[in-house]
Amino acid sequence: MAEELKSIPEPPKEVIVRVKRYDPDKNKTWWQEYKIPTYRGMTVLDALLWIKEHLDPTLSMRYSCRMGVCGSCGMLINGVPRLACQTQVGAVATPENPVITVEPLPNFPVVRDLITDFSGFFEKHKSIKPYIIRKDPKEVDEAPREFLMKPEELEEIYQYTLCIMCGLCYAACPVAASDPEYLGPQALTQAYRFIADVRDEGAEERIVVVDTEHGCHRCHFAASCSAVCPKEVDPAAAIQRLRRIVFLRRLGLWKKEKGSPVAGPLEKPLREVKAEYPKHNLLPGVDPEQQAKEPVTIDFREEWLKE
Amino acid sequence: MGRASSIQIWQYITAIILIFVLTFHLIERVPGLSPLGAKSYEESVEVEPVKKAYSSYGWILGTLLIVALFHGLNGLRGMLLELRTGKGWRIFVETVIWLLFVIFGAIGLHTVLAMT
Ligand code: SF4
Ligand code: SF4
Ligand code: FES
Repeated sequence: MAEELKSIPEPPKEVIVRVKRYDPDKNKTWWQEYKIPTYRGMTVLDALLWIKEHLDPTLSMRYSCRMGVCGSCGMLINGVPRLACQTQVGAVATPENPVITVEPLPNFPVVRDLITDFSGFFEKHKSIKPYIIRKDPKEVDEAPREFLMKPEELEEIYQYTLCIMCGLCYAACPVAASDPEYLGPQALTQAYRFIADVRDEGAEERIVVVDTEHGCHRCHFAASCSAVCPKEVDPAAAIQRLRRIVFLRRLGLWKKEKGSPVAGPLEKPLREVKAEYPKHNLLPGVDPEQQAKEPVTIDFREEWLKE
Repeated sequence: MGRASSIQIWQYITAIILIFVLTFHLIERVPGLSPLGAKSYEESVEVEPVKKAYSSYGWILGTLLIVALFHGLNGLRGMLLELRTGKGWRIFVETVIWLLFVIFGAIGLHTVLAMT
C-alpha cells in the first residue's frame, strides 16, 4: 500500500479534508470540512496536524512515529484503511477532486474523532500466545544462547514477523465486520507465524484457540486484509495455511518440523573482535581505551539549557 | 462446543462425495452416456425412465439427497452464525438446521424408498 514517492503526483494547491468526527460527551457524530494549503510530500497525517495547529485544536487523532513503524495512525482514507503517515496527499487528492475523506477505522469502537479503541484487538492478539513456547520453559527463560534457525526456516515466517499491529487488515475484513468475536486476520496470522516457527513447540495450545467458530474457519478468503496491509504481510495466505495445519492435524497427518535446538556453548570465539580506532578522527586528548574503561561524564552547563 | 474443524471436515467429506454423486446425477441427462439408456435429454426426464432410475440405483440418489442437504444446511448455518453471535443464537440456529435436516431428509428418503 505504501506508494513509491517518485510515482506520486504533485498534490493540488489546496485540498478539502472532510473528517468524520465524534464527540463522546455529547454522543454526537458529524462531518467537518477544512480547506488547507498543501506542499509536495505532505502526508494525510501532516494535513491533519496542520488542521490541528492552525484551524481546530479539538481535532483528535492518534500517531507516534510518523514513519509507518508504530502502527498508531491507521484510519479510513477515501474509504480505504491506510496509515495516515504513509499516505501522500498527492496520492489521494487530484485537482479534479481535491477532497480527502478521513474516518476512524471500521470494526473498532470509536473513542473520539479518529481515535479507535484497540483493546479488543490486542486481546485477540494476546489470546494466540504470540511468543515462543518450549516444552521446557527453562529453554526460554534461562536460555544461555539463542535458538538455532536455518535461513530458509526464517524465510518461511519472515513476512509475518513484519506486522506492526496497525489493525488495517482487521478494519478491512468483512467477517470482522459481521462477527465481533472473530479473531481476525492479524491474530490468526500471528498464530500461523508462531506455529510455523521451527523454534516453537506450542502449536497445540494455539490450535485450541484458533479452531473455534470464531477462528480460522470463519475466514472467507476475500483477501481484503492482504490488499490493505502497509507492510505487505499476506494474512489471507497465512490463514489458509493455518487452516491446512488445523485440518491435517485433525486427520493426524500434520507433523511439526523438528524443533530447533538451543545453540550449545561455543568452544572458542567465532572471531576475535579487536577495536581499532581511526586515530585521525579523534579529538586531541581523547583516549578511547581509557574511555572504554571509565564511565563517560558529560559536563552539562546551565547556559546550554537557556538556548 | 466442539472444534470447528470437525464440522469443517464433514463439509469437505460431503463436498467430495457430492462431486461423484452429482456427476452421476448429471450424466443421467446426457444422451449416449445416460445410465437410463435415454436417447435424448427430454427422454431422460420423462416419468418412466426416472422411476426406473429410482428402482435401480436409488441408493445413489438417496446419498445425493442426504449429502447435499447436509452440505447446504451446514453452509447456511455458517452464514447465520456470522450474522449474529451469542450462545442463544447459536443454539437456535443449530436446532433449526437439524430440524430442517431431519424433516427434509425424511421426506426425501421416503420418496426415494417408495420408488425403489
Ligand atoms: S497484518 Fe498488516 S495490516 Fe494487519 S495489523 Fe499487521 S501490519 Fe497491519
Ligand atoms: S481473507 Fe479472511 S481475514 Fe482476510 S479479509 Fe477476508 S475474511 Fe477477513
Ligand atoms: S504514526 Fe506510526 S505508523 Fe503512522
